[in-house]
Amino acid sequence: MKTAADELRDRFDCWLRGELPADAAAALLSVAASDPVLATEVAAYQDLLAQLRALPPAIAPEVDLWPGIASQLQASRARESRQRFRRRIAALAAAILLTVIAFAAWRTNRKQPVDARLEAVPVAAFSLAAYAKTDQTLGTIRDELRRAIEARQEKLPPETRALVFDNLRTIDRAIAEIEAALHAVPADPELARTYIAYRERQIDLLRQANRIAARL
Amino acid sequence: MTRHLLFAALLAFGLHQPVGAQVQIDRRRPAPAKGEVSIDNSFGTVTVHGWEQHEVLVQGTLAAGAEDFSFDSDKEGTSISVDVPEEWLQASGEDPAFRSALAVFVPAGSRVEVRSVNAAVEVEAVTGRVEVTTVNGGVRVAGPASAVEVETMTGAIEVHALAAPMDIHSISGSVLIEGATGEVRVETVSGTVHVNGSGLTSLEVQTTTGEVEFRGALARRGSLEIETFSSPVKLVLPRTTPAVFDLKTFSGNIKSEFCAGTPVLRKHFEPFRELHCSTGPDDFEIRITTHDADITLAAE
Repeated sequence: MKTAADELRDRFDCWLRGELPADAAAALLSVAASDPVLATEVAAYQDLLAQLRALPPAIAPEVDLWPGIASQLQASRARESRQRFRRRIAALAAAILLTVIAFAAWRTNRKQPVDARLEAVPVAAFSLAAYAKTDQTLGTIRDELRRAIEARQEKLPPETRALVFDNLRTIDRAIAEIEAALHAVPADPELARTYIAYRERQIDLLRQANRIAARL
Repeated sequence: MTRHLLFAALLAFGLHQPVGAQVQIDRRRPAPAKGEVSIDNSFGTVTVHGWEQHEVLVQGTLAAGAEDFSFDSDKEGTSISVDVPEEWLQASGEDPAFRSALAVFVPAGSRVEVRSVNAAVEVEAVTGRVEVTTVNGGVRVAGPASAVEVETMTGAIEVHALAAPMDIHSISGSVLIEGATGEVRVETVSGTVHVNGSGLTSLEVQTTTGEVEFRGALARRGSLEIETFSSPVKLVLPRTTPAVFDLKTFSGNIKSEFCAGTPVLRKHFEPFRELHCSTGPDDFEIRITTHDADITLAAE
């Protein structure tokens, strides 16, 4: 059974796509503002949208990096259209990362000889910067949900509480391993996508636990 | 004063039943063929059977300490509810005395919604939408429901429904789906997920530590997507299954009886493993990801 909050979250999808009329969007945001958890999520989405809007216009690099990047972006968009709303953030994050990588690669490569460009490595700083901002946005949602479940944890039976927190630790360990890999290979978009997907799953788990705890 | 009179009138008509001792129930009310039937019973059992009659029949036994039993209806639907003392809901364990057993017969086309805490719920032969929410109670849905949505915390879930879109959520409760043909979505934290079906068009499973297995045949077009962190995934498919496979694991292993000769790649970095291959047109996509658990594709 969907809660009122879940019903609202369903409508976020239309809102993020810009499909809601202005008055409907305003009403949605007004209702969401009355719930601290939803309000935090809305703020985080708005922050992420602002990051997207602030990105420089796409500039194709001069060397053969672009076809690969473009195909990954296209694949990401195709998947996005098939998958549920919760994956949208992962795709957006990947798009941020890939676009920044493309831009950075173009800037790095445009004044170098072709051979030197093919060894383009110094995108790490750019990718990590974009990734850190997305990380922060998802972290805000996660922290709010974690606070909510911790506030409700007395409602959960001890064994279920232990199970939920054990599984959150499982995800934390996986995230830590991906983070370590990202430090080793910072420009790897697959790793970045995996990292964001794991963070999304962590949020999904917290949402699910909160939803059930709220019913108890 | 008006409310007291109304309540007295309801009692006189037998629509609300204050309960002081264990009470047998046998009530019926007319109901539309495709109306909504909502049932609330926190402890005990709820069984719902679809039938051809245009009425709802409730039979069973109410717990001795239940505060109220209501059985109401209007042109939109029927509501059945057993109210229990708040302290029962706060109790650390379930006392057998909390249990009410309801057998409810509904027009087969009804939309059925059941809410419970610890009650075991069973729904059979309903062709409308079925929605069940429990905390610890197990749930079993069988029959040609038009859609099935179940959420539990620890209760096991079993669904035998043909052609129904299914949306199943649990924390630690196991999930068994038999006869899956349409769209199936399952989310658990640690509950195991077993899906058997044929002509499946869409399966989406997410779990953190629950083992996942799908056994059966796929439709010509569609997708199967499974994500776990630390639990293995196994697919058992007909040997001739045409599909595009996209398997990834960070530190697990991939074993496949499909795509003979296609190597498991480690192209990104160690220990990441990937298998991308195709056994036919790209109309059915299979995507599986785990963090540190094995992925197995078996052919039969």
